[in-house]
Amino acid sequence: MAMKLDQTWQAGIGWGVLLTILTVGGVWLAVRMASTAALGLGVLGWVVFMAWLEKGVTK
Amino acid sequence: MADATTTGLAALRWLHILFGITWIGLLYFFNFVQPRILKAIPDDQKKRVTVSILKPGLWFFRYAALGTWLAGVIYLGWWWNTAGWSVGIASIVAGGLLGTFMFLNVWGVIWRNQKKNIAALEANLASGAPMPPEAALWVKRATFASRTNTILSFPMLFFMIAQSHLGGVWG
Repeated sequence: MAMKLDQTWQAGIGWGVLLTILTVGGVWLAVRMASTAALGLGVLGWVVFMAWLEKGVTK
Repeated sequence: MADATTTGLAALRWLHILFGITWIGLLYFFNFVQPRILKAIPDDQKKRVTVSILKPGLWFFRYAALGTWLAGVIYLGWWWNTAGWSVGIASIVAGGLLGTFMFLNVWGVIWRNQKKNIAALEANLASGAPMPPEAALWVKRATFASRTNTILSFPMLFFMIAQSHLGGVWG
């Protein structure tokens, strides 16, 4: 079955990969530094994603 | 006989997986199967079919997400309280964080936009009320969040199952 990546899939893949890197990277840093503060990296990414959905997707 | 903690954690894990496969199964249906169904349906029937799929589908979808998240949070809290923090718990924290973002996307973006879209579609089908101009935007936001959740589900599942056999992945 041929699969064409439309705009929704392109955005989903881009944001999905970015949020995964920030979240897993945050956990990795938290383990390395023994501090839960680094977990905020993933949270920050998700907040930016929410702002993009609300303000960036306008048409 | 198993103690209360062992039994309770086993029951929560079972509930977490049961709700989780329901949630992610429907997520894959909405993203991989539904678009192909709608493509094969005549234009004059698309709205009715969309409402028929989305209304019950999103009910199971969002409450399965809620059940998954609640069972997971209670499980993790109980486990943490019993065993304490260790590097071995990092995989489940990574999977849990990704799952939490997905859960927030379900209730905060997908359902919040789709419930307005479903109401507008029902009014249009019942009385011919025109679709509001914002309707396309509601669908777009919900779809972006749904596609992102589909991609997030792959690493989320990896780190959830990695907990039991890839503990050393964090060094």
